[in-house]
Amino acid sequence: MFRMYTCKEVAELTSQTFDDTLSLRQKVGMYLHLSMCKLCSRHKKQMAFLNQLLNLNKEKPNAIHHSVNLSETTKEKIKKCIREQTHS
Amino acid sequence: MKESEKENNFATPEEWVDLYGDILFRYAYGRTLNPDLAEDLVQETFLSALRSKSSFKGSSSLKTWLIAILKNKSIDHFRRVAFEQPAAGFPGDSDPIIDLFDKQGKWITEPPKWEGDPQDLVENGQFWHTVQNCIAGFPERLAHIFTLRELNEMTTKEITELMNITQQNCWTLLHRARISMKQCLNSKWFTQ
Repeated sequence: MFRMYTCKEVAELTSQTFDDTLSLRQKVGMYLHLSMCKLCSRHKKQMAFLNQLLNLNKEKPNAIHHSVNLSETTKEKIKKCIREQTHS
Repeated sequence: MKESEKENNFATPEEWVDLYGDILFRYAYGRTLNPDLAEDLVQETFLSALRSKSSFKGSSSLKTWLIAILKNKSIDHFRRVAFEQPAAGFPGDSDPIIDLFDKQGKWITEPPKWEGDPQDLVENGQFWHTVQNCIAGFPERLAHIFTLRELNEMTTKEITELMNITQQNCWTLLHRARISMKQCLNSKWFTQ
């Protein structure tokens, strides 16, 4: 008999979909559960929401964090180190 | 390569800092969400680039070359962190899943609703600052694995090797880390 997955198990599989492929049995069991469970569907949506944000951060750090800069003090400090190393 | 980037290939090491300091910093910040650590990594990158200046052939852009060095510096850092972690942390680490489900594996508390669109949030510096605060509150190994997988481009295979854990442990830790992040954002961001 095909045992139904619990919400706890579906949450584990939801996480795993972001890392590796699931077996056919896992896929079918997960989608069967999701089609009937509002809370697990909401959880999965939230995980996908987070994943989308984190992927954007990985892909376009320069565009996303355009308002953060290396401070002038640190830039000067690094330049000073470079000068010292070049002249030694 | 763009013309303007070609010209930059002849810049002096001191000029590199003005040309690419901010870009490298944002890159390092995205991968650590930690401004102090990001600064250190950028400084190490420039000094290392200076030492291996002769290996820069100019066939790629200076920016690409510097980012490649920064990537290596970050991986060196993550390796050191993994090496310094106590090996006995798993599976005794506190488990954030326990409070979520009952004995039958059903939700004890409903996941609260989140409003909004990722696109509206992604450039909000305050949001990323909150994410960093959440990571800082995780147990060490969860913080580390979250950083490797969710802020960097590491595969689970690379992570199992770097942290010296099994594939199953890797999935379990990642699940715990993601749940911890969700719970933290529930209380620190989405209820505001």
